Amino acid sequence: MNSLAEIERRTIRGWLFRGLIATLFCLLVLPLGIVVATAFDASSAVVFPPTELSGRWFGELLASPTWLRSLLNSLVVATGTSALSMLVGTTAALGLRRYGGRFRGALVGLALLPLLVPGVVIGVSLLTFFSVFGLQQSYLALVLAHSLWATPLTFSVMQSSFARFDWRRHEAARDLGASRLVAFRAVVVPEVRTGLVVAALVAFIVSLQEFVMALFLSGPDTRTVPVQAWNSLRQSLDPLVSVVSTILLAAVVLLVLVGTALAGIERLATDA
Amino acid sequence: MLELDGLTVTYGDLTAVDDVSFTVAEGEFCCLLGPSGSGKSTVLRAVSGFETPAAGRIRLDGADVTERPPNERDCSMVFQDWALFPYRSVRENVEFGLKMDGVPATERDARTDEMLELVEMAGYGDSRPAQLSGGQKQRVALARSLALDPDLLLLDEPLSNLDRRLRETMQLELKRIHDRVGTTMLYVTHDQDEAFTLGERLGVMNDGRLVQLDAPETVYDDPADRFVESFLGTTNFVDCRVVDERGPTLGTPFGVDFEAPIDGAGLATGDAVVVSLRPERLSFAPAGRVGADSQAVGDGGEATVSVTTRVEETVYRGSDVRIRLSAGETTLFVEPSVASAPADGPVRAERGAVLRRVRGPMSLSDARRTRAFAALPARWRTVALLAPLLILDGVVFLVPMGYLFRLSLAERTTGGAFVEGSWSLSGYEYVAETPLVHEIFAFTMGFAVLVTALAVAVAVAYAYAAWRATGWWRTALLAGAVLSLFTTIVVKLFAVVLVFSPRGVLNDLLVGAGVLTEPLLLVDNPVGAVIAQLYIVVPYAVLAVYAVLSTLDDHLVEAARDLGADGPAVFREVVVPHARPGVAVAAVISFTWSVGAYPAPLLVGSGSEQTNAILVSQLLLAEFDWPAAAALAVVTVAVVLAALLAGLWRLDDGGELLG
Repeated sequence: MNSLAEIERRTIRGWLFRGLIATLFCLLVLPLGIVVATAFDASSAVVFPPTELSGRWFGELLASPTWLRSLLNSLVVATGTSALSMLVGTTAALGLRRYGGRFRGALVGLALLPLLVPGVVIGVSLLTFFSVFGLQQSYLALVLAHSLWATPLTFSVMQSSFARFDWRRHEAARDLGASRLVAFRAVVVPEVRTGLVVAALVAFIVSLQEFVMALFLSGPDTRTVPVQAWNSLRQSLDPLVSVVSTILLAAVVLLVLVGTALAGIERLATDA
Repeated sequence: MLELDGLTVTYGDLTAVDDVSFTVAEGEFCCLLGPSGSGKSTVLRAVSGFETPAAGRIRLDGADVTERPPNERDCSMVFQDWALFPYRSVRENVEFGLKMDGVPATERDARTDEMLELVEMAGYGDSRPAQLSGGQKQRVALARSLALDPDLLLLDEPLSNLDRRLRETMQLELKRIHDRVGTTMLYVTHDQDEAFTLGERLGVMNDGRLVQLDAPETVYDDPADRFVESFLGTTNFVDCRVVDERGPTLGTPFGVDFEAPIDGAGLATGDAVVVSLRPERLSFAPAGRVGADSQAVGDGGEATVSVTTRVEETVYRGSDVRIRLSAGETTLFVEPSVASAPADGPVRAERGAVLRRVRGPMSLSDARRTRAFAALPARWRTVALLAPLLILDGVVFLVPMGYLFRLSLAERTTGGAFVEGSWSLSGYEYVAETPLVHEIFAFTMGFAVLVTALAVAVAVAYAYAAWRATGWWRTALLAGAVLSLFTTIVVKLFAVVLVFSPRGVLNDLLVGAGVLTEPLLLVDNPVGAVIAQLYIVVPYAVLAVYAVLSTLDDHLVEAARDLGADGPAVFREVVVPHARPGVAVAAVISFTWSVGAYPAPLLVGSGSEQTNAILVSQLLLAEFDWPAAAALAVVTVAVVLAALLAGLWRLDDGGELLG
C-alpha cells in the first residue's frame, strides 16, 4: 500500500517535472517574444521592455532598399527551393515506394545525408565548386543549396503521405481506363493534397530560415534576409534587425498555422 | 473469350503463378478457388494488367493483351476492398470509367442511372463512399466496373469483407446480375461454398498451379488430386491396400475388404492406396438395424461396406452434427443431419461412401522456373522517378564534396588559392602539425559532446512531457518546438543576445530583483556558445525523439501500469527502450551540427575560442588557403560520418535511423 509520504513524494516529483518542462518551454519561446517586442520600440537602440510603442521602424524598413532587396531575394529563393525540392522529393518518394531492391537503403541514405553534413562544409564545397563555373552568388546556387536540405523533408513528408494512400484506388482508376498520369492526378493527388501542401510549406520555411549556406553563397545582390540580419548584427544591435526578425517570425507562425490547420500539429511535428 | 496460355508470374525467386492455362467462354461465370497464397489473385492481376507475366500469353477476345497496360484492356476489376474513390460521390465513382472513355455527359448520366438501378443503389448517387455500408460499397464497385460494359469482369474476393449473412445475399445478387447482363466473369475466392454457389465452372489452384478446372459437380465428385479433395471440406483419408487387382478389391484398416468403384488399371496387388470417405456421404445406423436399404452413391459405385464402430464424440455445429467414430485403429468423421444423429452406443458406419482412389500425393512445389525479362519497364520507371534526386544530390552534393576532397590534396600557396593540377598532402600536414588547429579541434569536439549530452537530456524530457500531455498543453509544447525549429538561426542568436547578455533581460531581472549584484557573463564566452548552440539544436532533437515516441502503443503503457509500474518505472522500462532510435537520431543530429557549429560561437562565443567551421571559413575567405581549409573540412566531415556510423551500428538496425 502506498504511504502518505510516498504519495506526497510522487506529487512533488510530478510538479518538479512540470516546472522543468514549463521552464524549457519558456526558454524556447519567450526569447522570440522579446525579439518581437523590441521591434515596436520608438528609440534607435534595441531595448526591452519597450518604453514607447511605435511602428516607426517598420516604416524605416520599407524605406531601406537593402532590406527590401533581401526580402525579395528570400522570397525568390524560397519559392524556387519549394518548387525544386517538391519535384525531387515527390518523385523520389514515388520511385522508392515500390522499389525494394538492394540499393534502397543507399538511396534513402543519399536523400537524407545532406542534412547530416555541417552547413559550413556544404557551403564551402559549393562555393569552391560553383566558382569554377562562376555560379557562386547566384539565385541558382542558393536554390540548389537550399534544395539539398529541403528535399529530405519533402521526401519524408511525401513518403508518409503515399504510405497512407491505398494504391488499389490508383489501380482501380487504371483499370477503368485512366492512364498512369491521369489516374495519379484524378485519384492520388486529391488524397495526398494535404501532404503536398505541408511539404511545400516546410520546404519554403527551410529556405526562408537557412543561413549558413546562404552566407557563403550569396553576394550583394542575392543576400537573403538572414544573411542581411547577420551582417547588421555583427556590427551593432540595429532595431531593423528586430523588425525583420519579427517579419520572419510572423511568416513562420503563419505557415505553421496553415500547416497545423491542414494536417494537425501532430503530423507536422512527426512527419518532417 | 479469355485464354491463358502457360501463364507464369514470378516475384524474384518466388513463382506465384506456375504455367497456368485455361479458357473462359463467353458469358461464363468461372470461379477460381484456392487457399491464400495459391496464386489465384495473381492470375486475376495478370489478366487485368497489373502484373507482367514472366512467361505465357493472355488473350482477350482473340487479341493478345499480354503487353497491354491495364487501361487498354477491355476488362474491369472489382477489388477485394472495393477501392472506391473517397473524394468522389457514388455517381462520380460509377461514371469514372465512362469519363476516361470520353463518353458524352448525357450518355454518361443515362448509363450511370442504369447501373445504379441494376445494383439497387439508385437513391445513393450523391453519397460519399464513407457514408455507405460494406454491402453498398460492394454494389457501387460492381456498378463502377459494369458501367464500362467490359468484355470480362474480374472479381477479386469481393465479398470476403462482408459478414456471412450479407455475403450469402450478395452471392444471389451477383448471380442475378450475371444472368441479367451476361458479362463473362472470372471470380476469385478462398471460400468453397461461395465457389460452388456461383461458379458454372470451378478452377482449383494450389501453389501457383491450376490443379483442376471442371464443373462444380465434377470437381466435387472426381477431384484431380488429394489437395482438391481435402480443400473441399474435412474428409476421412484412409490408407488401404490392394487385396485383389480385379475389381479392384481393397483391404481397409477396419478389417473389411470391399470392391472399390474405381478404375483399377495400373494397380497391382499389394499397392498402397489412399481412399477418401466424405463424412457427409457416410450413412450410419445403430448396429442392430443394418439392412438392405443402402443405396449406391457417387461414381456409380456399387461398393457397400459395413463397419462396426464406436461413437467417440459428438459435436453439434448448428445445422449439422459431426460425430467422431473409432473403427479399429482408425478414426472416422461422419456428418449426418441432427435429426438422424443416433444416441450413444455401438453403431455401424455403412457404405454409401464414395470410395475414391485419389490420384497422387499432395502436390509439393517442384523445381521452379524463373525468368525476369518483364520487370524492365517498371525498373525504368523507377529509375526515371529517382533521377531528379540522383541528379540533385549528385551535382550539388556528391560532386562538390568530391571537388572539396580534391582541393584538400592540392598544394598550398601563399597569396593564391591553390596550385592547379598539383597533388600534395600539405593541407593535411597543416591540420596535423599546427598546434592552434589541434587546440581548435579539441575545443570543437568537447563543445559538440557537451551540447549533444545537454540537448539529448532536454529533448527526452521535453518529448516525453509532450507525449504524455493532452489537449492544448500538448499542442503548445509541440507548437513551441516546431516554431523554434523553423526560426532562422540568426533570429535565435539575436534573441540569445537580448536575453543573456550582461545588459540583457535575464541579468536585468536578476540584478533588479537583488539576486545578483553583478550581471552574469553568459555571452562572449564558451557558455554563450553552448547556450546558443543548444537553442539551435534542441528543437530538432525534441522532434526526433517525439516522432518515435508517438509510435508507442498506449496499451503497452497501460499494461505496464496494470502490472504495478509507477510513472518513473514506466518511463524507465517502457518509454526509454522504445525511444532509443529517436534518441540516437537526436544525438547524431546534435553532434554533427555542433561539430560544424559556426554562427553561434562566432556571434556569442568568445573571439579567441574558435571551432573547426570558423577556422575553415577563415582559411578560405580571409587567408585564401583553400587546400588547408578543404583538408580541415574533410577531416571534420570524417568525424561526423564516424559518429553517424557509430549511431547506425549501435542501433543494429540502421534502417530505423534512416527511416
